[in-house]
Amino acid sequence: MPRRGLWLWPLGACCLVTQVLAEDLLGADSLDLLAEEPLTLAAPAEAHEAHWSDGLKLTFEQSQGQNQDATYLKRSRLRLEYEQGWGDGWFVRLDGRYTHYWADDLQATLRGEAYDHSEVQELWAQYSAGACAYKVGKQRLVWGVVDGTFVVDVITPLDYTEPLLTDYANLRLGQEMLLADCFAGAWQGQLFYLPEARLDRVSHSGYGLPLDTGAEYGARLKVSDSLGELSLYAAHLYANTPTPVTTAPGLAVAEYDLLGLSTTLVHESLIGQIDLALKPDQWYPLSNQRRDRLDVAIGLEYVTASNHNLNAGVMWNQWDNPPPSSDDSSPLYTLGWRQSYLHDTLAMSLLAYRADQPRFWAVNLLADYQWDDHWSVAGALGVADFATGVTTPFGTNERSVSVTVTATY
Amino acid sequence: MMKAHTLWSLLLLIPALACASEDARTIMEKVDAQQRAVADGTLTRSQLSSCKFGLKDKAVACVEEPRVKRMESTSRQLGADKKDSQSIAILLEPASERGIGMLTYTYADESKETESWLYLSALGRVKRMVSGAAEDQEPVSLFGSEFSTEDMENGKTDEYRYQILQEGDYDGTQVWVIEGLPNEARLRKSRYSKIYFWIDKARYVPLKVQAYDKRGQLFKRILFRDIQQLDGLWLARDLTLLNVQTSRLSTMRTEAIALHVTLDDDFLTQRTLTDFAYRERELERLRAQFQ
Repeated sequence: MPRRGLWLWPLGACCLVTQVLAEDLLGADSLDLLAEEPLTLAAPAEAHEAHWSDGLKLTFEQSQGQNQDATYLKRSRLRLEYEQGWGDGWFVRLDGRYTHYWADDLQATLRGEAYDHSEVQELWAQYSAGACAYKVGKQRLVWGVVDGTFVVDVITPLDYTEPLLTDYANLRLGQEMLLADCFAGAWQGQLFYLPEARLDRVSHSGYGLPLDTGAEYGARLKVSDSLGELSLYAAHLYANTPTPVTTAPGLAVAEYDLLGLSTTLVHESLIGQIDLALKPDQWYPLSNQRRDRLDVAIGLEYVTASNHNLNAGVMWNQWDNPPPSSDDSSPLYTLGWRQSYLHDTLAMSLLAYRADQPRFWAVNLLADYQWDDHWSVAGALGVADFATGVTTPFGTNERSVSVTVTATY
Repeated sequence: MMKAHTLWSLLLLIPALACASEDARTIMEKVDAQQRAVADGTLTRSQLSSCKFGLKDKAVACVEEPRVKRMESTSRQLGADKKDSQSIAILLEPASERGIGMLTYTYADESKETESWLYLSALGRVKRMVSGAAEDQEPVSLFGSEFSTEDMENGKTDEYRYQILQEGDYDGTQVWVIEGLPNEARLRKSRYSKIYFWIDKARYVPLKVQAYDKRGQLFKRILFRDIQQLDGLWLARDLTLLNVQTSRLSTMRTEAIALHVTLDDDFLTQRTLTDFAYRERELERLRAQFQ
């Protein structure tokens, strides 16, 4: 064997190895040949110039809900949303709704006739300068980290005339408010002031009683890092839900100073959350006495290997020196699941609540399907079991099965 | 004598293979460095379209109305080797998803977890998300498309072994075909068992990437088209990903891009998710630099 061949052999062997491994890798196959424009059915991508109408959205919603006894939800809604940056450092948002409640909708049944209701949920302007942003107008403010519990998430009241589908924002009532946020790296400071607090809404007729509230104001300090987040709160507030008392007028609204804390800790696929609030001077239910109360919520979120989002939570409150013969309230347990299917066009979720005192449990299976860029359909299947006498937004059924469907264009 | 020949042959083969392996790594590091340079101080407006595909006149085409999303994203690279990244993506269309924003910090250091925050208007607050990159966790889809978070990563060359499989002419361009095999840690959190890269020898950009599933079957093919040079960097403005197992494709078309922009220190923080006025003001300033 010639000596030169010996030197070339390793190189040849190397090439042979790569040739065997790389069979036909330089040839093209049918999947390499894209049609001139493979997305021929797509709207052509046009050079986009910003236009004021970009931020405009008009939607129509038709909702229908049925339980084993009767229709409880039948309403049609036109919703106008607009949001846009204006000038240098300004941003505005409007969210207005006009709703027709058909005669067999629960709200119309309570009123005795079909009716229309219009409402501006949000109308605010935000101005940002330097390290701070200022937001004035009708808006919502959400505090806290544990979903579905209301320990420190008590600024924005809830609208119990709305069904819970997949958008929690539908349940929140906007309030006239001035909000200031300042940012410094991982730190965020927040101040808010609102001249008159609103209460939770149980019907469009109100509570039928004189329930006065006044100004609310408060502050939040938040810091984030790779491990998680920590928020501290201090606020002067009115309770969102009036408490039944034994003296006239039968309902009372607590005015109190809240001190609170929220924290989120992250470790790989697990998130731990805590909301904690000290609420002095709360009305004790069905008494004429006021007591200090500590509210606590603990939540866990876990994302599985296949990206199913599971969450569980517990919320309870502890009264300071409760009146004798009072019933202890038991913890409220929550359980949830969330996943997206069909290339994110179908969002499925499950929410379950359970408490022993007063006794109730409820399970809601929710689905939201985005048919195309315009049409979407949301559905909810609810099963609930309430102790006799417990009033729910949908009535006082001891046991109920309900189905709600909303189509949006 | 034969034994001596064999020994010499083996000794000579080892450096020859090692040399090829080192070359492959050098090439992939150059490719990765260019991709990181493109991502360092960049604003992009993209259209992301997805559909089921079929063959029409022997070419790949959509066989249904595609879902179209448009988004703006900004990113920068940090750290000693610029292998850490911070990015924010904000959806512009469809109207039902407008304003959803996601902030992500990723780290080259395998011991540091990816950090993600999402602003959800339905919740009315910024929510900390799990990293989506924990061990054994499947990468998530990018806004419902066939692209996954794993497909969009850079700065991960240390987690692969590379070798050149072949070189020559591919569709009129001289290329290296390079195989990337994930190390054990990467394999646990990847959906791919191996990846082939067709790298343009002159421009150090991929022309085609093929990823194989854990059973060794072809899973995804990404075709890079409309390759342009901007500010001395080569980049593909059109990426088409074919998922051959589901017969779905996604195309990411860069409508506009601004490279080497100066980002405000606060822009890639949670402030941008909630301070809309600040976000729009900064984006307007950056959009003026679109190329």
